[in-house]
Amino acid sequence: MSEKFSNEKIFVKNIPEFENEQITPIEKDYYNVIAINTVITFLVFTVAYFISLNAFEFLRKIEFKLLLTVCYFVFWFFLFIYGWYAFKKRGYCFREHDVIYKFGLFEETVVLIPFNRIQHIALHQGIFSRIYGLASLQFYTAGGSTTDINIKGFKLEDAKKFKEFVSNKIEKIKSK
Amino acid sequence: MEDIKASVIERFSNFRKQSAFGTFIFFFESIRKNIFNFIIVLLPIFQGKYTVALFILIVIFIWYGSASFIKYYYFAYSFDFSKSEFLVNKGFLKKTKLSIPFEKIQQINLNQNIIHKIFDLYEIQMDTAGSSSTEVDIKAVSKKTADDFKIISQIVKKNFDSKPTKKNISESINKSLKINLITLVKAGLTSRYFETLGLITGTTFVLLQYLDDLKIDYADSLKNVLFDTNYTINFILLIVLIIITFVLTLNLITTVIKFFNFSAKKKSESLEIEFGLIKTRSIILSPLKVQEFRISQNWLQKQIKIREIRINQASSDESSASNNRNTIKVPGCSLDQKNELFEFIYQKKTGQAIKLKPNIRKFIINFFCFSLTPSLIVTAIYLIFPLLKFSITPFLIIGYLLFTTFVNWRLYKNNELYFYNNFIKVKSGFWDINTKIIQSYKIQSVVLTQPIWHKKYNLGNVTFLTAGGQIRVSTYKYDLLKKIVNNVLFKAEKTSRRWM
Repeated sequence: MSEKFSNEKIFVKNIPEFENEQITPIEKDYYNVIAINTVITFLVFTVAYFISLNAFEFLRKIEFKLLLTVCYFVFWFFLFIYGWYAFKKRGYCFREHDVIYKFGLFEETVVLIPFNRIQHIALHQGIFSRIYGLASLQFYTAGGSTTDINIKGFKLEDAKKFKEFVSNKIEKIKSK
Repeated sequence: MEDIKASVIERFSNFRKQSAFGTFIFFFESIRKNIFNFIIVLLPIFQGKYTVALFILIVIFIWYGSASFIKYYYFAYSFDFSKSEFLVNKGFLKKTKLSIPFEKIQQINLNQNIIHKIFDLYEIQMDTAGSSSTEVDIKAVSKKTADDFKIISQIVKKNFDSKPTKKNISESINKSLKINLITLVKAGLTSRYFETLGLITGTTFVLLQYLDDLKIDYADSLKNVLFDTNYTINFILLIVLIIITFVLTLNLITTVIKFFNFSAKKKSESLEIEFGLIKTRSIILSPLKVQEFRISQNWLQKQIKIREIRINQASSDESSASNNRNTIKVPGCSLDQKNELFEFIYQKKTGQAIKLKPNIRKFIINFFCFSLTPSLIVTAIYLIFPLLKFSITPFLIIGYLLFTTFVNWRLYKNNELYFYNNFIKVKSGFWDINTKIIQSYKIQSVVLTQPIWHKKYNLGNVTFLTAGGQIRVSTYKYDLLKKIVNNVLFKAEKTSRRWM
């Protein structure tokens, strides 16, 4: 194994670069779904918070209750803001041979899956997504569940279209 | 025969539900899984409130019953023979549409447990390559459908097997690789120090826990022993010596027993591996299925020129047994043996490479997080609170700081990424230096991440995932990583070779 430095031979020239692709942002309506989910979680937690604040002896004794409550609401405020900015970071791109999914606010993440490695695709529709006519597409590979990406917030017809598109790609690859 | 096939194809092309008795299967299964929840019922019984208990029981039964019915009712499957796909529609609140290409279905099994037998039903288990194998099980079908599935399984298989597999190994038949006893002894004495030490520590804690459970009070006697002992240098050395001897003997014995008479015979397309003293194990390694080739060597092993090799094959199921069946370990390999194995599997050498090193910030960040910060916190506690006021504490802190700094430095120094024409290789480790090699075209997916605090410095991390093992490097030059990812994707996408 000789390890001389020779750059050109190893990198193939003139191949597509994923970083130059146009990333399509998630459907704006999907933020409503996120917001609904967050609000529901918020309400449940807040009710639980106030009940437990009065129900448990050791919590009733706390002197800095007001401070605690303020902190609690500030925390949720930031969670909402985080949700919005994290949502804006999500985006996807279907290329000729692969799918790209981009997300992450503090850690920008790009997942790339070649179509010829996709085991199967699932189309999910959650209860709130259905109100807005949205759906999500999940791509399964043999690489393990950590990277089985689940792109949320497609319009239902788009999701169906993309599912068809990718299924056809897989089909074509198989018949080669 | 063709008639039967045609009728089966016609019948299964429409969406169909499972057998209605499937509700019972789901019902019994969910009760079996949640049997511990029935403890709530016992509570009122103990209090003598039988009606309450009965009421809770009925509620639970209705709950599971309706959940089972929903599970049965909202599950439909069909086959799209024109597209060679198996389709599933399921879900009550969350609807899911699955489509699985025939190619990915490796096996169709018919199972029956006791409840199936009562209702004369069968469970259809589809083994798919990859992660979500359990998702496509059809829990309950009638005898007739099960018979039909046998025919379908043939159709699916035909689809699968029609691809010709290349034969390009002509020579090197009947050669074999053998590891003799002396090499095994060498390997046993030089490997797995930390694993065994960890195992011993773990076992000790489990034993202590066990004593606790048995209500044997060992705390006092342990305290007495700890405080009454005279900690001289000699005593400590003796203890260390005993531990080292124990670890070495344990390693030696387990290695020799496990790998005794290790031999690997080359057949035209596979490697037959046999080893073991008490229980002989045999594994068949097929080069196509190999996903990761790992070489592990520590400083001692380097001196006596041996290395351990681990070969990961793609696993078709998730069960715990798959781990054993698909990982092959070769203890104590020579360099020639390693190269021979490598070439047998990949039919080529690696060739020229581009070598990349991580940025110094990898070391700096690790140093801050795992060396400096903990040390400072402990020092602060030591200075402010009387909690850790032992004369030995400052020495421990300095010792910890020096040791972890050394470890972090080694980890940083040993980390290297090589990008070859057809391979990706990564070196890492503190004591055991691991070298992982994967074939570029066998990747399943790639994950690039960049924390925002590294954006300014153009640094990032990348993970290449295969069906058996992954390669991850962090804090490398992001531009170069992107370039490598583009190249690797290009290789994976243009090839029509099968990855397993």
